[in-house]
Amino acid sequence: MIKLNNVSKIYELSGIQVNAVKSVSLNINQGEFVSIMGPSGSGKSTMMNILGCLDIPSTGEYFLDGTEIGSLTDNQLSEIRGEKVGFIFQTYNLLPRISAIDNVMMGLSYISNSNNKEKAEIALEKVGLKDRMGHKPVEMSGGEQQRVSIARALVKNPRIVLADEPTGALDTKTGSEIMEILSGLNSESQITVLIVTHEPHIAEQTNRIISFRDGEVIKDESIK
Amino acid sequence: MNFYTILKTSINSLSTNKLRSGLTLLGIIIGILSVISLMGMGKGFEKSVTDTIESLGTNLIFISPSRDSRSGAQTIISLKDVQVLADERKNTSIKSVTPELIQMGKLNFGNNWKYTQVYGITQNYKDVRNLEMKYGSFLSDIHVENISEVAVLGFKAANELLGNRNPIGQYVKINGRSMMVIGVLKEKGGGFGGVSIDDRALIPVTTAHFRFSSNNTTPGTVNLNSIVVEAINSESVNKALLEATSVLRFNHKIGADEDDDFQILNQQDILETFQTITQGITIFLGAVAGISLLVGGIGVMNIMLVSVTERTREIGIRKSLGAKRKDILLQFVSESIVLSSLGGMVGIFLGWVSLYFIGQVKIGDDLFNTEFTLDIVLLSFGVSAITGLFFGIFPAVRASKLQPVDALRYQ
Repeated sequence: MIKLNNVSKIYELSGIQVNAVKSVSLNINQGEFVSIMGPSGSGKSTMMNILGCLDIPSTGEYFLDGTEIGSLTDNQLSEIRGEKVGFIFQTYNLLPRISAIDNVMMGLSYISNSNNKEKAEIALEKVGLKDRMGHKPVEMSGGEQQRVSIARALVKNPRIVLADEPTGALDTKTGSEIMEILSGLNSESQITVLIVTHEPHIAEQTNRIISFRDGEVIKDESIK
Repeated sequence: MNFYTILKTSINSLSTNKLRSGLTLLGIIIGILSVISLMGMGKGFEKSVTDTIESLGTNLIFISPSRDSRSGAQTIISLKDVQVLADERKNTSIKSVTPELIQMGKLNFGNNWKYTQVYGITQNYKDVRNLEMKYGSFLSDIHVENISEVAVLGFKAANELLGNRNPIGQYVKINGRSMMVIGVLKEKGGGFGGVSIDDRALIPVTTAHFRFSSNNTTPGTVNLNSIVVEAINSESVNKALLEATSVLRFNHKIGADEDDDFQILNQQDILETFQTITQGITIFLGAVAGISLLVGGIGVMNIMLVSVTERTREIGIRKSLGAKRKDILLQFVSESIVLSSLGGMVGIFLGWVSLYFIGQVKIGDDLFNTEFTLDIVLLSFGVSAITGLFFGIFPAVRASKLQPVDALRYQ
């Protein structure tokens, strides 16, 4: 499913080269529930951008579903993101002025033209927001907004869901509700779920923890 | 993404910031409004001028003095020229000929007076100019021969001087000399700038010359301002023009290698000259209005640039959801096209309203002529849509080139 061979990412920040990810090799199989741990600056966000095809490696190879990502054009990367990857962000990244259902439908607008509304309704029902569909994000609590963004990610039946600090902006109780949804998504639909986090108690709810420090994998352990 | 979704998305994002979209719209509206009203006024003026020239009569050729090519002195055309032009045996394409000797004159009747043009003419003038009598009769060749002190008045001139009196047989003073009114013309209308035959007084050309003219002339010649020649039909205008030219050259003893010492124009030439001028005016007005449209367009670009910056994160989100460059490009371009087309439509409507009101303004006795034609509408709508496209593309390209990682990180 996901295969990384010696992937590195080098940024140039005002003339200084920053080696954010240093020759990482990894295998993640279909249906795994994985967390990527590490303090800030450890390269985990860069890793997530590469895994989500938002960015490409400077060197090394990244195979997603057998496709080598590094050689793709901008448009091909957009296509892969649209079809295979669902994103969940710490700050939800919903459009504040359109309704929940419109936000979810936006998850389909670049890949599908039929029955988008029905699909979006089903996705919102799955995250328990059937009766809040017409509300705008500004009228919703943080937990509700994050559930809308989960619905947006799963409305297209992605192969992989990438969650970047999904509980980072939420209180503990709401955070564990979100984790339950993500875990359910993984166990029921066999979607590969990757969670980037710096909180050990979140990582512990997944099946495998990959720890990063200074751009390198320092530990990779299955815990269940 | 289909057309409908793009359109809906555009309208949604525009309506989330109503004040800003509204102000941008205003720029486009004012631009289109000025294009429509100025072009409409220009076209209306163009039409008045064309109508006026066409109302003078058809199949006409105008001959006037020019300047001597060597001395630069004003050349002379005279009544003699009229006589040779009128020779039917030689000039088969010429139907009739009439002189014009034009002077400014003060007309008096009791306490009423009026400054106007006094035309010295002959009997043929009536046919050449398609005139009809309301009262009395027209000037005859007898009047011309006898240098009679008689006059025919234009409809308005008669009204202003004589009021409701029976005009026939009244004596009107022209530049102090009593002239008997023998006829009044039917109202003809037309005339831009208020100068129409309705205002004029017509007197025999000989009377005009011998009683009023201050021109120094060779004895026996009567200097004219112009000669009007009517061709037998519209096909023979060019032939009549050639005949008139050769007769006059012979009469003026012009050598084969010398230039004409007179100007000869047919009505088409005059019409074209005026049309060149009036079309120039229309284009000039359009260009002035175009500047305000340009300013409006820059307003659109400005707002779209602000919008792109402000919505960087939205662009990042859309890209993470699979939007391609093309999708982002289309979205922003369509926003600016929606903005400028909407402005265009409102502007066209307001332009129509403003032309209606401008059309109610009186110039002299006539209403200001305005034209609201399909080509003006299409032109302005096209221009506003193109403005949107042109000024929308730069911000849209900028938006589409954003890298998703950078766009998502943007605060």
